[in-house]
This record gives sequence, C-alpha cells and structure tokens, in this order.
Amino acid sequence: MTRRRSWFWPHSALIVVLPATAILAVVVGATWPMLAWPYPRWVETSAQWHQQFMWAGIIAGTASCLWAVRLNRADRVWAQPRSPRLGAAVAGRHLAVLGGWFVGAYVVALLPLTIGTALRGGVGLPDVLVMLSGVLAMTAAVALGYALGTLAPSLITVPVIGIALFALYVIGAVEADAYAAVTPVLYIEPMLGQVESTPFAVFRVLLFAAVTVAAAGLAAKLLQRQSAGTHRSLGGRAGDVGLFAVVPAALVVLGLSNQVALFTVEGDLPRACRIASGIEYCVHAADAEQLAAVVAAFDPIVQRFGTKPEAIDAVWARTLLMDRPVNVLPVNGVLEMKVDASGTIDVAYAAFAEGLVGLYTCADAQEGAENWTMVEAQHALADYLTHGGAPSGAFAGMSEEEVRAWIARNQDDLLSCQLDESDLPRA
Amino acid sequence: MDIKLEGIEFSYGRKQVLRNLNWVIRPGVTGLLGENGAGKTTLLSVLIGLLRPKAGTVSLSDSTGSLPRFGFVPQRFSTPPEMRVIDTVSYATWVNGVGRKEADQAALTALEAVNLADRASARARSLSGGQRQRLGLAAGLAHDPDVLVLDEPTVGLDPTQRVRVREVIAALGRSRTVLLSTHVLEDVHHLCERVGVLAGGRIAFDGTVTEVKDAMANATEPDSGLESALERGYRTLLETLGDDR
Repeated sequence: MTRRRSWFWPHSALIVVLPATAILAVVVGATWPMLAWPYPRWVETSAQWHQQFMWAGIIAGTASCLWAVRLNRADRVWAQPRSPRLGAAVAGRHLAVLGGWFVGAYVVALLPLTIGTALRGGVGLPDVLVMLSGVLAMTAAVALGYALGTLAPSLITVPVIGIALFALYVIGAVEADAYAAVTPVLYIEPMLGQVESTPFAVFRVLLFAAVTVAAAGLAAKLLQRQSAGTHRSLGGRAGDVGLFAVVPAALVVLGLSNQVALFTVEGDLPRACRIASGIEYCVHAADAEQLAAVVAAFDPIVQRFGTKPEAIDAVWARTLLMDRPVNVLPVNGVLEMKVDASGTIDVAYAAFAEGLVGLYTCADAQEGAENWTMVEAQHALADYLTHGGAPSGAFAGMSEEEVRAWIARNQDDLLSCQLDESDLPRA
Repeated sequence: MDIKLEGIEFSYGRKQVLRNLNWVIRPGVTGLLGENGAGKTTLLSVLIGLLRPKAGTVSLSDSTGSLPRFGFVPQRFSTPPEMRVIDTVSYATWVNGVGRKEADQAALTALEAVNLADRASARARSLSGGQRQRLGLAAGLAHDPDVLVLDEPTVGLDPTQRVRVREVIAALGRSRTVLLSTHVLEDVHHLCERVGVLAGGRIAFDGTVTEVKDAMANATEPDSGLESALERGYRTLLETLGDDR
C-alpha cells in the first residue's frame, strides 16, 4: 500500500494520473497519423518533441498549479514553523512527482513516433538538442505552474496559468519570427533539407532550463518562508519573484532583441534527378523513391500541353531551393514543388497547369480589369491539362491533338496575356 | 525541556502587544490565559518562530543540546478535503523531518494516540469537528516534538469531543513540554499544572492552578454561585492585575 501511494504521495492518484493520461492522449493522437507516413524524416520527428507542447504544456502547467494550490497554502496543517523540509525538500519532492508523471507521459507519448522513425530508417539523424528543448519546455511548464500555485494558492490561479500558456502559443503563432526563440511551439516546422539552427536550439535549451530552475527555486523559497514565518511579507515575496526572474527575464530580452535564424539549410544537398519531356525533375536524394511519382504527376500535364513550356526548364523540390523565397511562378526556369514525408506531392502540380495557361501572369497584368471570358477559358484549359478527359468550355469538342496545336500556335500570347476572345477556338 | 523567553518586545505598527515579556515554560502542560486581544496568539507566534520579536530572545534547553523539534496546532488550520487522514498526517510528519518510510508508521501511531486510527483511510472532508481537531493534533505530534504548542484546541467541540481531546493532551504532557493557549478554564482545570496569565503585554501571573483558585479569597464581589472556583479565581486575578493593563 505504501509503495503504491509513493507514486502519487502525498496527494491522490487522480490529480496526477488524469492529466498525465490527457497528455498521453493528445500527443499520441496528434502524432499517430505520422506513423503511417512512408518516408519518415528525423528533422520532422525531432521537431515534434517541442511542437506537441501546445496542449501538453497547458495541461502540465495547470495540473501542477492545481497541485501546488492544494498542498502549499500557508494555513495547511503541515505548514508549520521550523519544519525542516518546508522549502527545497518539499518543492523537490512535489516537482519529482509532477515532472515524473507529466514530462514522463510526454516522452512516452512521443516514443511511438520516434521509435517508428528509427525502425523505418528515417532520413537524417535525430536532433537531440531539439528534442531536449521540447522536454525542457515541459519541465518549465510544470515548474512554472507549480511556482505560481505556490505564490498565489487560489483556484483562480489555475485557469490563469492555462490561459497564459495558451497566450504564449498564440503570440508565437501570430508574431512568428519575433517570438520564436521564447515560445516552445514554433509557428513553422522544419522540412527536409533544413535543420533547426544550433544557436537557436542551444538558446531555447538554456532558456527553458533557466525557467525550470528559477521557478523551482522560487517555489522552494516561498515554502521556506512559510517555515520561517515570513510568508506574509508582500515585499519579501515580490523580492523573491524579482530575484528568481532575473536570469530568465534577461534571456527572454536577449531572445527577443536578437533574432537568430530558426533553420539552417543543409550544405551540398544531394539530389536525385530525372528528365522527362525536356524538363528536369529533381528531389532531395532522400526522397529518390518519390521521384517517379513526381514525374507521374507533372509529365502528363506536359504531354497534354504538347510541348516543353518555354518558361520552365526544371521542376525542383522545395527542399533543394531553401535559399530562395517561395514562389508559385518559375524563377530562372526552375519551378518549385513540395514532396511530403506522407508521400503526397504538393498541389503545386495543379498550379503548374494554371501557370502554363497564363492565369497568374494575367491576374497580375489585369488586376481589377479582368476579361472574365478569357479567365474562364484559361480555367477550362488548366483543368483539362491537369486531369485530362474531354476538354470543356471554349475547348469543348476538341481532340487532344487540336488542343496541342492551338497551344503551340498561341503559347507566347497565352503566357504574356495577349490573347482576346477572338483567339479562342469557340469564339 | 524548558523554554525561556527573555525581554520579548513585539508590536504591530504603533500598537505594542508584548512588552519586556519574561517567562519560563517547564515540561508538562502549561496554560496560557488572557483576555481577547491580550496577545496570546502573538506570543505563541513569537515562541514558535512565526513572528520575530523586536527585542528579546527565545531559548530552549535540554540535556542533549540537540535542536528541539516543535509541534504546533494553530487555532485555524486547513487540510485538503480530498486527502486521506493517514496521508495528511504522514505528509505533515515527513515535512517535519521524519523519513518517508517511517512517516507512515509514525502517522498511524499518532492517529492511535488521538483515537482516530479507525478513520485513517477516510477523506478529511468526512471528519466531524472533533475528529478534525484530533487530526490537527496528530499532525502536530506525529514527528515526536519536544515542544507542542496548541492554540485553542477545544474551541467549537461538543463536551464529549472536548473530553477526548483533553485526554490526548494530558497524555502528551506526561512526556514533553506542552503550551496550551485557551479561553476555556475547564481545560486549564483538567490539564494544566501551571498557568501564565498574559495582561498588559507581559506575563502578569505565573503560578499553579491552585494558586489561581486561591486568588478567589481576595474577591471583593459576592459569589454568584454560577462560577467555578477557578473561574472566580481567574476573574479576581484579572481584576487584581487591572492596574497593570
């Protein structure tokens, strides 16, 4: 009986097992679909160790706060003056139980994805520093919730910490790069060809570790004040908060004032390429297995188009073009597309056809004064190029050959948006 | 173990509550009496280290020279209602320095001492007022303190519960120093060997219960017949001390 209770002692099982189960459920629920991905990548698996903080961190923080509120009120029968353990020993015991359950549940919940990535030969290597930053973010949430529950032991504090942690997530999502260094969940996830930059990961490890240590130290000091009989002093408590907040606050200021690049691009990316219909298709060598699928997605469009598009010499995976901004139009003859670990090829191949028929160039050139008959005809042509079958709209009733011939005659004008309704086959 | 208070001064802002207070508390059960607002709770808080006096010292002496262990049961205390009685006492015992494994056994022993062992597995919320008071006593004594300080331990209890709690306190006083702050003179009559009366910020009277009763002889008002000898003696004593207040 004693041993069983030790897992939760001094409180009951419910206050730790229920939140730990919730953490397990939300993290496993969110990462489970990734287990089915045929092309696992360590960079994405490693990132999940901090991305899954979103709900798990809120649960851990609020539950730890509730624990502190229940046990650390100054009028509890055990909060006696001169109690030798009222201080670091009590805080240490509590945080060991809370951390063991909540951070433990988080780690266990991420193991299926991590082991699955390892067993299926995930591309790249596990990023231990990134994974550690996620674990430390969880310990920071536990310690922070516990410290705030000790500082203000009222049930009102419990939702406050939950809201604060959610606000941290929202700020990170809205303010993006500006707050990325100090928010556990990144607004964007790294992809193949990228790694989370080492200075960025090191900073986050230091920050979350500092928050953990400071919050645990603050809680211990507040409890020690109960033992010393000085807990009623508002000035003393404010001083303690200020003292323990110095290092984390300095790190937060440092993180906000010096934006470090989130990701760095792998140098000399290995490529796997294939040429079809005069166009070079390239993916990251790790995605070589998907190259055939890429060609199969794009080449039928080119076949229906009938000739190599003048503006496109190559179609490259985004992972090979990290040094340039995302663009739906070809740049220097290279069009980009995205290949996912899930095995799906980005919808870019649909946009590919829209680009070929000049929808994007016309939209830019005629903004506010579109010729809707032409726009409709371009959509009909793009739809035919993407999906095949019988042409529709202005091209209804035409054979594949007739469409190809029409495109060959009008390709230049099509791309430069020089066609009018009289040029359409069913004008 | 003797507790020696010397030259204790304490004030809340400009209001001085304790003035050059000197008192020696000896082993056994000692009662601390005083009118409302006399400063009894303040004195207890100074004694156990919850409040720091502006001047004076509190010294504790025993034959071994080791640091004494305190047990304190405040007048008002709380417990998480969802916690089991055994866990509440066991945790209090651990917080007070007893090892984790020994704390469970010590808690059970303390619950037996306060006649609450049969409710060990019950949730704290299911206890009656008297049982709750005994839970506080168990939490205060399970770590085997040298000095036990009790602030109004029988307030709010029915007569039966009060008798039970008294029995527990009397038993505790046989092996340690117990200081009992109370308004209930019946408790003093049944439990205390010595009594200190706090008036005017100092211990104005320090003597035995018999000496308090003897003060009745100096009574100027006629006996109403409604007061016990102790009550009448105490009232007379307070009137006698009136000049010092």
